[in-house]
Amino acid sequence: MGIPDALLEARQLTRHYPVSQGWLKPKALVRALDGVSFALTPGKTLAVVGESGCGKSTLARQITMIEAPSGGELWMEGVNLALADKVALRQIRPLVQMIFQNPYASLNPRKKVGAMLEEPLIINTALGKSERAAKAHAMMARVGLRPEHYARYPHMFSGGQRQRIAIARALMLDPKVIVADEPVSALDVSIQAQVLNLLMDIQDASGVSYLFISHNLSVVEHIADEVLVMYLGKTVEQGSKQQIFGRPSHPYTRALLASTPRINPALRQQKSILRGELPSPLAPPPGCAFSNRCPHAVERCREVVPTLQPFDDRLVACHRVAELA
Amino acid sequence: MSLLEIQKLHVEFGPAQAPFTAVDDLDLSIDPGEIVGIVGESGSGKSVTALALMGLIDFPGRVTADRMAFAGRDLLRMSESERNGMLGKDIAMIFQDPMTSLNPCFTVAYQLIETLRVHQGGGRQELRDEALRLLKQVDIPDPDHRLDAYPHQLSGGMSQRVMVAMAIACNPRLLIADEPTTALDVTVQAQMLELLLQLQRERGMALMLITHDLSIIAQTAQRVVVMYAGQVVETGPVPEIFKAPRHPYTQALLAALPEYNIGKARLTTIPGVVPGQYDRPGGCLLNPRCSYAMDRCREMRPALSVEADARVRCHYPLDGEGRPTDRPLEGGID
Repeated sequence: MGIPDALLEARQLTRHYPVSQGWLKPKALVRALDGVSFALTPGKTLAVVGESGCGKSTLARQITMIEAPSGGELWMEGVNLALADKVALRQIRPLVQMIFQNPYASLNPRKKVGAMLEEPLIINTALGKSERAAKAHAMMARVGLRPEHYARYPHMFSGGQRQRIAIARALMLDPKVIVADEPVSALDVSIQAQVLNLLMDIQDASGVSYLFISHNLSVVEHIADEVLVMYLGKTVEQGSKQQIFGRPSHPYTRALLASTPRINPALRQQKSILRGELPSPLAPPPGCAFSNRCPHAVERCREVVPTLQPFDDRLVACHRVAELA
Repeated sequence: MSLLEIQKLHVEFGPAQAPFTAVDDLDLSIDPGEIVGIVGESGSGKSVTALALMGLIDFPGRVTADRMAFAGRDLLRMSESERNGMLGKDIAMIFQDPMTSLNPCFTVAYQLIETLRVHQGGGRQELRDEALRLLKQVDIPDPDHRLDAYPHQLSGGMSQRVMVAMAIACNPRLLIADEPTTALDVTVQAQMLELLLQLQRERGMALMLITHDLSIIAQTAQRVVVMYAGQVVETGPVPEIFKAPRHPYTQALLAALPEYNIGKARLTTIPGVVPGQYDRPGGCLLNPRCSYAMDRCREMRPALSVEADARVRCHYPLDGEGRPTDRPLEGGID
């Protein structure tokens, strides 16, 4: 095992999907996740940023064990989850929970809050009815819901309260890792601040580790400890928040930061708006996947795939990183 | 003369005895070529205002106004067909979710040409050439190919570009963009905003940009209207309003942004939520959530007071230092 106090460690984690091109045609391969490595440590937050289609959600599906990766290793509790059998997975699954983006869609409209919070306990523990209810009430108090909310349905709540219910549900089994997939992007600014503070309070109290998926860089800047920037299934830059936001090295990271709107004109960066959109994962450009949108691309970028190399206390996958620094 | 002039707009839903007022006493004017940002949380009435302006509020919703005029013509008194001739031509609108705004059963060309045929008419080939020209104008790569594409073959950013092409097809003088970038990635959002600004400059059209994202407004708009629970609480020019907000709500919204909390352990929050249909408080609508609320705020509803080029709806508006004034404004009761 590599990093000593890691809760969960991914090494060259890969997920490829074969897709049909039509009758008699060979199957094409979508490299949704292509060799991503990172470690989650207790009480810390790793933020994964990138555009739609970069593989953020595929990553979440591997970490939460919804799908088995097609390559690489995923270590947790001394078990390689990529090769683990059903019994081992069943034991580890409760330790990784998920919070989804849209609290209007992620809560079952026909279940009361109490029933939703108790369901994980019914499946995974042998607790009796009154014990389950007591645990649910305790959890509701922890996330700022009132006791009378226990017997209410999701439609009776506002967006912020629903996200609190979703957070409570994720915490019911005392997980060690929570995967939060855009947890605040459906919420208003004032509610977003409340929910982010709640997530940070919970982390301080329980030492849970977050894998925080977001495209909102100003939110990431506030909550993350480590940042992983993804592009078309690959890591392009990985390092601590201070390094990534202080001195972004990869042209893609710079473009993402420059695209983020700011109130303060002093924080606005020189316009380097990216042309075009993410290329199709079925036909990625040869060489660097970012080369067709990169303002600094040269011949070499279009031919040779850059590897993730240490540079300036972080990892960067770019041929020209030293020249551009 | 202003291009759009709205005075005392009310939009109500529900029974006449106990109506829910979605938009309350709204005044708004937009000059030709001006970019006005409308900002507020969900439920503040931003989108309903735009829909009322477009005449898209159906029965049982009720729209009343002292005056709602576009380029000197009264929108409330004109006939249905006259108004329909204006919509999509002089006033156009882009909606939030591009994936659901386009009809999945028809090609891009069909939907673009439909707009042109209704308002301008012309021969088959002529209209198709015009549609192609529009797609080029919104920077769609490979436009010949995209003309015959169906919406499901386009990405989110591309669909939104098609929506913009449809909106500008007839040279509107006012473009209403309702959360045009909320469903898009940051990089595509930046492209989209640049495109809207470029079109606005080239064509000299006015732009009404509705969003909940203050930073977008700060970067694009010339004037901003802040709404809360159906009312305008503050209007003012950019960037002054962001430097020294006069209304406690504007100040609190800004303070809740991660950008204003860099280096702090926790974000500043606004307690509570926007009041809904049944829990609107007496007095100032913000008073349960306002950190400066006094007795006067809980008892009397403040009016929108007019100063130079700004307006604020508060008994104790904030001074340049961000502190409330000591004495309430004279006669500022609604």
